[in-house]
Amino acid sequence: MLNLHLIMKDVLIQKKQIIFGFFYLLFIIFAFQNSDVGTFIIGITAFTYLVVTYSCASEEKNRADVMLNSLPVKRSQIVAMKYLSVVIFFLSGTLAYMLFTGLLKNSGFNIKIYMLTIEGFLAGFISVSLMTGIYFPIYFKVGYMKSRILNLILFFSIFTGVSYIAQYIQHMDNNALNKLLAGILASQSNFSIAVILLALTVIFQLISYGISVKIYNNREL
Amino acid sequence: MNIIISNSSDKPIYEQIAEQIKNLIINGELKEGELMPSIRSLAKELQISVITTKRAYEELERSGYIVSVQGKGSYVSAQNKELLKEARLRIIEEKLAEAVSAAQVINMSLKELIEILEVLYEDTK
Amino acid sequence: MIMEPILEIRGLRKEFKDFGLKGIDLKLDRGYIMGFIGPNGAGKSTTIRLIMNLLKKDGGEIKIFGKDHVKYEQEIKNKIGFVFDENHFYEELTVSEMKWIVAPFYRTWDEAAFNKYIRKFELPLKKKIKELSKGMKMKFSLAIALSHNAELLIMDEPTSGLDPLIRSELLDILSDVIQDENKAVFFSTHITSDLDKIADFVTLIHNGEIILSMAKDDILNNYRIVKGGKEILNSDIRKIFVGIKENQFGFEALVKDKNQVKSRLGDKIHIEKPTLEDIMLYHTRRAQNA
Repeated sequence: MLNLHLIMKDVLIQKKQIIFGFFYLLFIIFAFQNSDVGTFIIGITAFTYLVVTYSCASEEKNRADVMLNSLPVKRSQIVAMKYLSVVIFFLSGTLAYMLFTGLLKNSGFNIKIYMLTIEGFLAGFISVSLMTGIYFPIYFKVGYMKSRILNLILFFSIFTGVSYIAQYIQHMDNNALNKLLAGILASQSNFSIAVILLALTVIFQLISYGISVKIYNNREL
Repeated sequence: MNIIISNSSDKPIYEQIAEQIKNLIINGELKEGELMPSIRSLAKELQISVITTKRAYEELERSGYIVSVQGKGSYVSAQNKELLKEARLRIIEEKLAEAVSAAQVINMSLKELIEILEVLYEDTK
Repeated sequence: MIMEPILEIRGLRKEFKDFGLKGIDLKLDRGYIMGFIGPNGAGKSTTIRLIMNLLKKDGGEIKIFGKDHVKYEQEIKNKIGFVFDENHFYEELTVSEMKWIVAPFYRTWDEAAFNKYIRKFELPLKKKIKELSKGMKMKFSLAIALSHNAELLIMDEPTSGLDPLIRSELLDILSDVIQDENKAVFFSTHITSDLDKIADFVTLIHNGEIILSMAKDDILNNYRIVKGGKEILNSDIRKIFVGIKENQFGFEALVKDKNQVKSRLGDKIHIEKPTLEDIMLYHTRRAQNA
């Protein structure tokens, strides 16, 4: 049973925060104009970071885990819904990004706008998945409060890391490593590279989910 | 039908209830075959445990005052006319005994006591 | 046909650093209200959390509706209405939003019943939960607990912090619930006056052990408070007291069987009926002095 309304809970408890998140996204579009694909990666990761951690904080503040676990629902389902909520937020953040950039492009504002490409979308997805994939097991283990600092470090390192890598890949210089990478990459079509990366990310998330479920199942509330 | 419980009495509550219902039956306020309130609704009204009302009804059934039918409830049982009369007579005897000892305290004679009794009968006619 | 108990706990154990449940036994049949009393820290909340599988037990057996509480957890929780002490709802949501999130989990959700309780408790559907008073929050908890055909109501200190009027309203509601003899209520509290009237059974827990578990009537019909002058006290007499309080002007003690004192001390003492609070206080004091 999909219990989608459990995801809706993550939306309902932070209507204001989500709107703030969209504005933050807009701000990043302006502030990180020169980062090319990095604009999107930073923006979507920041947006998802804000809303996901806010919902985790809210759960903890309300001690909602006691209430949730008194319901006829498996702990694994509660965990699953958290991971799925990330997908929902990622998609809505992406849509918002496309909306904002689309409007800005035609508005005559004098800023550099990175229009979303498939590569960007993938890179953003990888970045968000890495961040939440590492964050969630820790959150389920020690809760929101104890994981805050780690969360922050994680956030910054992930999005700067992925942006850097993505930009680097997009504008590759010709040295040995690059030639090697280029060689491997050239032998695959862009599409299959994307599929491989996507598959790896999904597998990473599934492993993370498995770990989170194991942790949460043994958690004393 | 009135049932009043005293919390300060030493008598267990189920006994108080059983006794009061017994009296209601003896006085005729509760008629033969009449349906009694369910033990749960009685407990709710009196704000006591259902175990208490259950015990009271069990006591009443044991002494033959009520009869419980599975699934339907409890009814005032057909009272043995003789036994009822006897019970009523006993109450009258008790009350008269009280009057006699009260009279003896002030050395009233039997004749004076009977006079008072006659006046009382006249008054209630 | 004899039905199995609606709640049955056997040898329940749970160890913490400086506290533990040392083998709890208790049993509740359908159609009754059991009060679970004890001082703070006695293990009431722990026991309830173990029943609900919020904590993992170290040993023992818990059966609800005759089934193991872990193996059939989802099935059982569908039929349990749970009311907690503090609010565990999302404060930012409105009453109807919160219901909208919780209701779909229950297979037998009864929307009509929920609306009936909303009207009866006068709960404002559009108000945010954080704007409700403590009493209203508890009533909301109760409305949810009573709206999915639950057969067992488990309540963990639902009345702490509430004024006597609301507490009395809650007890009336529970009275109504128990008119259905298929249902049962398990009610933990340290405000024993709530239970003096309404409880059918009382279980007293202290330091992780069950001190007594019996029909409330049996307790109040037999235990007595005994008051008298200290000159009566000797080691023999002290032995029959469950607990004793002495002051400058005399003593007050709890005795298990009123007949024990009536014959021996008769007119030298004053005897009264105890309240559940007396029962709790004397037993927990005695355990400390033992």
